[in-house]
Amino acid sequence: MPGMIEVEGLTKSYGEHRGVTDLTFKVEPGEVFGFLGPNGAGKTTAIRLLMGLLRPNAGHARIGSLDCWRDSFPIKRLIGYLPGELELDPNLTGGQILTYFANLRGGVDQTFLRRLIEQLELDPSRKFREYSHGNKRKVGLIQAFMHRPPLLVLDEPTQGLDPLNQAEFDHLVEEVRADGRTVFLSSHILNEVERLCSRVAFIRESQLTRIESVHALMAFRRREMEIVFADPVGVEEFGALPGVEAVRRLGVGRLRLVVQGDVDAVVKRAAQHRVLSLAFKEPNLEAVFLSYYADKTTAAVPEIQGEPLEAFTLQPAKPPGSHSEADY
Amino acid sequence: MRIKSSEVGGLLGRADLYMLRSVYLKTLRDTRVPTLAWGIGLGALVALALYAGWLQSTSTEAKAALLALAPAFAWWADPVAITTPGGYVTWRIGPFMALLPALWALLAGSQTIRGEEQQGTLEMLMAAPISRSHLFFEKAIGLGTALVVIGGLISLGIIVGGLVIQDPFPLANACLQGLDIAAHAAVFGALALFLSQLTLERGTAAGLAGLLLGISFLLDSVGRTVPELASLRYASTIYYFGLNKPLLPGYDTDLGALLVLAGLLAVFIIGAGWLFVRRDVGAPGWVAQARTVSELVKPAAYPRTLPRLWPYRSFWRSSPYTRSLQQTWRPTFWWGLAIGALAATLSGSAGAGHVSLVLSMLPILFAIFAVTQVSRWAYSEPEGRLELLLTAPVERSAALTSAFGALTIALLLLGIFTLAGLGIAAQLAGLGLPWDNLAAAAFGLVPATLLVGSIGFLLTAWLRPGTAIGILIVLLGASLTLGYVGPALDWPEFVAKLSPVAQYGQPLLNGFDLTAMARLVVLAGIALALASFRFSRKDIL
Repeated sequence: MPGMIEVEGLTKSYGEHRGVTDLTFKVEPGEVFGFLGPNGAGKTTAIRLLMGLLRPNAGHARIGSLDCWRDSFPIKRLIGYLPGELELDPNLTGGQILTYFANLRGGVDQTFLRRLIEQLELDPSRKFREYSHGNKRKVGLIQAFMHRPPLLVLDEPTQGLDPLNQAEFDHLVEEVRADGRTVFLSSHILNEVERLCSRVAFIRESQLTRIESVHALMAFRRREMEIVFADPVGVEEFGALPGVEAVRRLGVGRLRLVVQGDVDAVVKRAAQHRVLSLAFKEPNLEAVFLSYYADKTTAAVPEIQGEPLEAFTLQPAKPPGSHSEADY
Repeated sequence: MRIKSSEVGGLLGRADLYMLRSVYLKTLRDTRVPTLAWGIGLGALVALALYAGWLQSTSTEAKAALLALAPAFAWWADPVAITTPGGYVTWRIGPFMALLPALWALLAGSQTIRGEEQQGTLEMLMAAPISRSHLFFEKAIGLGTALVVIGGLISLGIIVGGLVIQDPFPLANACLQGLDIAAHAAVFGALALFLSQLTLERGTAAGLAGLLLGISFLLDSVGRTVPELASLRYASTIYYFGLNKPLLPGYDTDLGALLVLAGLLAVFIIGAGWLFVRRDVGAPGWVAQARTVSELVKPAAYPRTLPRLWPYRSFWRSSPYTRSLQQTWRPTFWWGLAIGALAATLSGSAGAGHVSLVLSMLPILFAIFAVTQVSRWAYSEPEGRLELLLTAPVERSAALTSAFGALTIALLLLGIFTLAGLGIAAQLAGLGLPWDNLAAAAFGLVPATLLVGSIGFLLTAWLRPGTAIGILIVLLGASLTLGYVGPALDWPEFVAKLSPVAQYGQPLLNGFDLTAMARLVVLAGIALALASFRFSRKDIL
């Protein structure tokens, strides 16, 4: 079955500046797909290639089986687009802008459009140049959603939105997902990606480093565990267990552990003692993201389930049992 | 139910609903104010000039004086049947009718695609389901329509003027004059549109097109007055514009000239469209074409910049002033080189008698350069450059005066280029012109042009860029015209002296007029102070 977005070997170079190199991925219909990466990694270049604004040096991108450069005109009927840096005619009101883009799309459902305006609490009578950054973003969001496109390409969609409007944006994406439509969402807000996306691609230094389901990524996570025992327990008893990356004694009978992956071995070993309390601090995707990007050195990649891709950067792996209190 | 879009929340008027239906109509909507202002202004100017011509034709002495004056102004336009109202208009303000709408057209042409691209508004438009070629031609046709409206309003001015002097022009002739003006302006609008596909900045394309407009005028002027150089006229669009003289009795329509203009228009439009549909948004078109050739060998890349002539890059970023200089030096260099080379070529080949001819054209060239630089400053606000500058610890007045300071240096450099061109030519041709008078001729224009610039800065402190630049061009055109039409209307001398041409005087004969220069500098200073005062209190939107 063809994907909604199919990208194969896509490359764009700007000379001394990197663009994107050899991107390959597929977004299925009905999927909310996250696109993550640090600043300058190539996220916006990839999106502009999808939108037919840039011509690739190599490879191709297809949306709905149409080539993004050659067939950019029919493709745009399928897309609702919100760029990362939104600029619209400063002398038009929000209402005029929405009317203009609705006309260019051959008309939209006015009831739905009004609902969107009310939902995001936009005042369409003000000129675009008078809007705050958040309100400008709302105009962009409404024009992207208003024609109910099969695919939404959203670059940093909620930057500048207040929490209430971010929640409204979440509702809109949920509606799109419920309709079986597709969303390609580039974001720095990892909680947003974690909440909304089913899969996420990581891009770094112009290359795709990993594609993973959010669920699997969350399985590949470092949890902090704090266990309080009724009696003193040695650090070394837990340090050598599978998945344990660090152990620290916080007091008599009180340990804090960092565990990657499942905690089965730790729980079973703890059960051999009298446990007074057991607490977890759940990491979010942000912690996973930071573990991908914080360390510049390339290290061995832990084996986790997912699509095989190139090696990515992670904190150096440590042999089992090599952890010490000093590590933590 | 999917219904046709009509309005959002009942907020839009009927006109908005109609004018926002397509890119073409939106382009017309965006240009409606300058279109009407230019059309009505130029139409009124033509009507006024017809009246002035009629006054001249009613007096035998005035006619004789006019005929005596004609040879001295042969460089300006063809002095044909100048004692008739139609001939008087064609001679006195014909070149303005070619230059001023073309100046507006080239500014609008460079803004149409590249300007919107720089502002970031094009990206959203290109996300709409419109093909690139469709988008391009709707915008181009929108601009063309605006020029036809301007031409139509000028035709209306001719008809009204004819009725006022009770010597009405045939409707076809009035319309042909308007069409001729619109066609010539459209060539430069299309040229700027074409050049803007090859440059990264709107201002660069506008500057180059403005330079070519100035050169076109010079070539026609020199070719007309220097018989040995008559063939130069064929390279001038103004020559083809001037071949049609519909306001003169007995002149047949020159279809060939109109076809030349139409051909140039088609070449530039098709070339610009061809580049636009193939290039990356945000990149110059020549990169895309270079890639087409080279991509079989290896993936191409954007060349970052042209080879650097000035290695000390940090110097340019040491202050707002040096940054302004950096933005100005490139157009200054090319304008200076072109002006200097033309001055040298024409003065050297034409002899001493024609050095004054070259000098008579300089106020127009300097003024066009000043307009392009004011335009660069004006558009720094919508393009976001100004906001960035003002987020640094820079006084607003310092930002404005830095830009003005860079303009001052640029004009002095143009003066040096001009002096070098004139001086070298005078030496080689053995004309024996004194260097101090040549210096007065070359630098005497700086104060008058500074006044033009400071008025431009003042207007941009209040008004939106398009409106401010439009008004500046109209003021400039009106003040230049005063120098020619004013005396015929018996207006007071001080009114005629509002013209930069009149202020420039005869420096080759009289040397520096320090009093006049000081007066202009003081006026420029006052305008700049007002601009700074207003700019310091302006909302940056």
